[in-house]
Amino acid sequence: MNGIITEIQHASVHDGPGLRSVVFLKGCQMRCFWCHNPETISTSPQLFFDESKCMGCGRCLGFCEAHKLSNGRHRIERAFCTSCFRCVETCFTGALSVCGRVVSVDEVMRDLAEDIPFYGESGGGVTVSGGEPGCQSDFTAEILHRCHKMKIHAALETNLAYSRAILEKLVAGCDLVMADLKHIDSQKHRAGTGHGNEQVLENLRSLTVPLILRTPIVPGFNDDAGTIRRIAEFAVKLDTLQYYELLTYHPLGCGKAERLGMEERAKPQASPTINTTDYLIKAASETGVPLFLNGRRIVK
Amino acid sequence: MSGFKLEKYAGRIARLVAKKKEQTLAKYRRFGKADEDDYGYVLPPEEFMRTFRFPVLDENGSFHGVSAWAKNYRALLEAHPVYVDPDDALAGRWMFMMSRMRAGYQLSLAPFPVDYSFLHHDQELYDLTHGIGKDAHFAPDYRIGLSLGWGGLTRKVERSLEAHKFDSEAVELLNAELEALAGIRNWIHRTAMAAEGELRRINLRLENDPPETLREACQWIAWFNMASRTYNRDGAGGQLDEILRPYYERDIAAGRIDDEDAVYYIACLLLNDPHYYQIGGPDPNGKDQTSRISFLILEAAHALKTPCNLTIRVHDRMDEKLFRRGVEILLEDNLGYPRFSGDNALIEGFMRNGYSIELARERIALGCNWMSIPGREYTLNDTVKINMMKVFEVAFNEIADSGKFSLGALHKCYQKHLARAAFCIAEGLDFHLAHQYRNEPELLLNLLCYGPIEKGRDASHGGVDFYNMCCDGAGLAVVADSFAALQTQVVERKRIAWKECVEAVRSDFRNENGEQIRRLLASSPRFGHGGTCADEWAVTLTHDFAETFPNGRRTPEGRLIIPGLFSWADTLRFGKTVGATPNGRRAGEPSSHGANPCPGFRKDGAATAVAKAVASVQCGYGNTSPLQLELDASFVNCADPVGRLTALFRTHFKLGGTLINVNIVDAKTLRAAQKEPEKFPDLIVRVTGFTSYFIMLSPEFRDFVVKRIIEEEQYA
Repeated sequence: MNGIITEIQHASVHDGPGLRSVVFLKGCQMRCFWCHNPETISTSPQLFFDESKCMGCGRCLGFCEAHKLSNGRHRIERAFCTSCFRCVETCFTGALSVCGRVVSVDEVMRDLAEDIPFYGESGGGVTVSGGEPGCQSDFTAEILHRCHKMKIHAALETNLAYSRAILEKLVAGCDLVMADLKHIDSQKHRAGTGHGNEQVLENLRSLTVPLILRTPIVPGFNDDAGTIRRIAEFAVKLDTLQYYELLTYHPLGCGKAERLGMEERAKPQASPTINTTDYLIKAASETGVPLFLNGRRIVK
Repeated sequence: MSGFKLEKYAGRIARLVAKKKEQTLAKYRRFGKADEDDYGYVLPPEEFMRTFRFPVLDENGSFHGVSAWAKNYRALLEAHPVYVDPDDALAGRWMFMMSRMRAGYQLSLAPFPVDYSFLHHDQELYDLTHGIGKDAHFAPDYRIGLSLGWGGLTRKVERSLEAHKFDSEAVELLNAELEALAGIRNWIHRTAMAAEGELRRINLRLENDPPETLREACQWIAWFNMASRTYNRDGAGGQLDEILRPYYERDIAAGRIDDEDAVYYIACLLLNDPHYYQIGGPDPNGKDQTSRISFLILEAAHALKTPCNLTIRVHDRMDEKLFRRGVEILLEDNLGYPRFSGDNALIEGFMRNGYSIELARERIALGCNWMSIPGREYTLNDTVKINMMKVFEVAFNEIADSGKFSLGALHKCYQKHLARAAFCIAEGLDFHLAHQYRNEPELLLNLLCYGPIEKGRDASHGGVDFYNMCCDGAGLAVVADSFAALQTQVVERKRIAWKECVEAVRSDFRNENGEQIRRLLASSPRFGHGGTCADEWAVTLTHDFAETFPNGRRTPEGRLIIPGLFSWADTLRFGKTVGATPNGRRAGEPSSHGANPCPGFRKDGAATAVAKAVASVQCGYGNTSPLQLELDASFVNCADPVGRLTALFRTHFKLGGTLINVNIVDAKTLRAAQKEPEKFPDLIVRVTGFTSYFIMLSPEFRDFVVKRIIEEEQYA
């Protein structure tokens, strides 16, 4: 069975307990305007152009109309790109590359097996992330299932915006779910992500595996005490909740968006101020929910 | 021990640390740079430098030979300015390094035949660090001196002199030892007289008698360290917890001191000089040596937060609390210590040389990258190296000139030249062992070894029990990545022709299309990524290196050679002698660091990947290929960083790792310090096996360390 991924990152300390390997899948049904992994939105391989590495040698010209050299600068007209990626084959400097590769579950497992000695010793394991792993549910389920069989702790990072049937398939091989609830108000959730939150809330309530609930703090979208308190109040009632985590927005996705030609996502949002973070922590803490901020436990 | 509070002495320690900071700045202003350990010396008065002259000098202003060293040493110590600080539990600081006070020193001008010109051709061809004429770099056993005292040592030498009075080599050496001892005792006496109260009483006693209390033992060790540093920079310590434990336990039982007193005394010892000490680890029978004082030593370093070289030995039966406390301090202080060594691979490796498990357990971490059996083993550790990049360059050029390229032919040619370089090293080691005693005897280390005084033979000339000569390989990752780049881009993908590659490399990538070719080659698989041909090459090349020494890894005279992988702080120097390499490295750029992959070896810079990679390139005979781990400060902010780091270390050791050095550095701080180092006089980084004040590194070296540490960001 094959799937499409962007990369497998090793030694992650921000995607679950211990030392973990994280498989980043391509494809997401949401369109969060602040997305920090814009390369994982599309389910197709994409041309990635890092102009800082380009020497303007012109080797890539001539295959198609997408590549132009203007005043010594390489320009890409994405409308003409047919994703044949022959240009990448010719590029010596690494300025052109393909974002996304089709891999089999066997290939993924071989890569994940590299770090098996570290998983057990650290209480770590594998996390399947994205994008949204639910968009490749069979592929994701198979990776989780294989990990489970090999006694590797398996975690899923997900937005839970899919059917109950998919959820059941995924959690069957899963030891931990790390799910986002981006807004408690469905209309606002839809405005920010393109999807309402009804399915997300329903799936959260029905979860039977340990859960870490997370909210990315995005200024102007959900950085008010009322919203965060309501999410925390919802979270504290969930049976399998381990803790609720606030993740402050960071603009690291913007550079990647620019290199993928996604100009509309290349402009950074404002980052939450320390004051904002402080009052949101206070608002969430008042509900009694166990609380983390960016990977660290908040001690009252 | 977490949260140990130092209240009684907090003020004194703060003042001592502040003074050390001033002294560091003063050294920086006078010398500008050091690129090595902090060492702990202080500057002598300028007046002294203008007026002092050695009594025995050659025409060229240098000196050689046993008698000259001894007389000059004694003269220097008898004139050595005294140093007493009322805040310090111990007296004295050292100010000179005799081995660096030989103006115009050249071994070839020594007053005895010292011609090794028959080795020059290959030494230069392969850029060999041959070690001939090098000193120290093996370990004393402090217990000899602690039990005898300076008076007892003097009497021991006198007795041996009487026993060997018809043996000219012994007579010359032992008379020299007496000169050295007289100088040391004079220095101690004058310092004692400048001190007051208890400090005077202790030092007057120690001038002759062995120590009885913990404070006296620390003072005795400090005197030996200062005397040995002054002689020839020796910096090897010992198993500090076990050495101090009897004194500590006696003092505690007698109600003379409490733990806070103990921490204060040990802190003063560590401040006096950042010698290399091991704590924890197994005794010869495998029993864990961790005791209360092991923790107190860690707390003393934690209280100081100055350069320090403590190593915790990680073994199967160790006290987990010591391991965790060490990692906590590493993370909390951000100063690159303690380091951690891996017992299993070290023991298994050393036993492969035919030694017993008991001896293997006694061989402990006492230098930058190195292990030694205190008092029993002569090694030249860390002073003998083969620049693997240079060997590769010779082979690459030979194949290029032949016009017949194949990867197999290049590898065979590399192995041929490596073997020739190794043979040259082996002959050089024999030459050193035959002549060094006449050039520069180990007058200080001899005193604390089992044999040199008894036999009347220098440690370099048959005085000790074991001769396990070190040879480290440097630049492994550059060579592995070069083979991988050729395999990938020339042989398999055929992106460029061999001829094109040769022309680009030889032009330092400055010919037409050179930069494009450089980038193509640099984008090839890298050692450290895991599962690539570069990783396979690194393992193959490590095996080549470990087994390249002839006659079962013995010199022509039969001395054992133990290989390892380490570059010390010589990455810049090694790089300067080598032209461009097919991994995309430009001419003159630094070599890769020790056994580590080249920076940027994989996009995520995964700590697990580098830990696995370095574990896979161990030479396997008891010397190390250290893992140099650079962790971004964000690691400290993750959940359970202690647990995660402990697991990472333990797994590295399970996979075969031998030694771990760690830097946890905030990239912003480093960048700021790079611009204005004077504003960061207390920033400490682990450079290789040693920690150093950032300010004491040369600008070039600062740039290199910064680049290496923050490389990860460039690939994010």
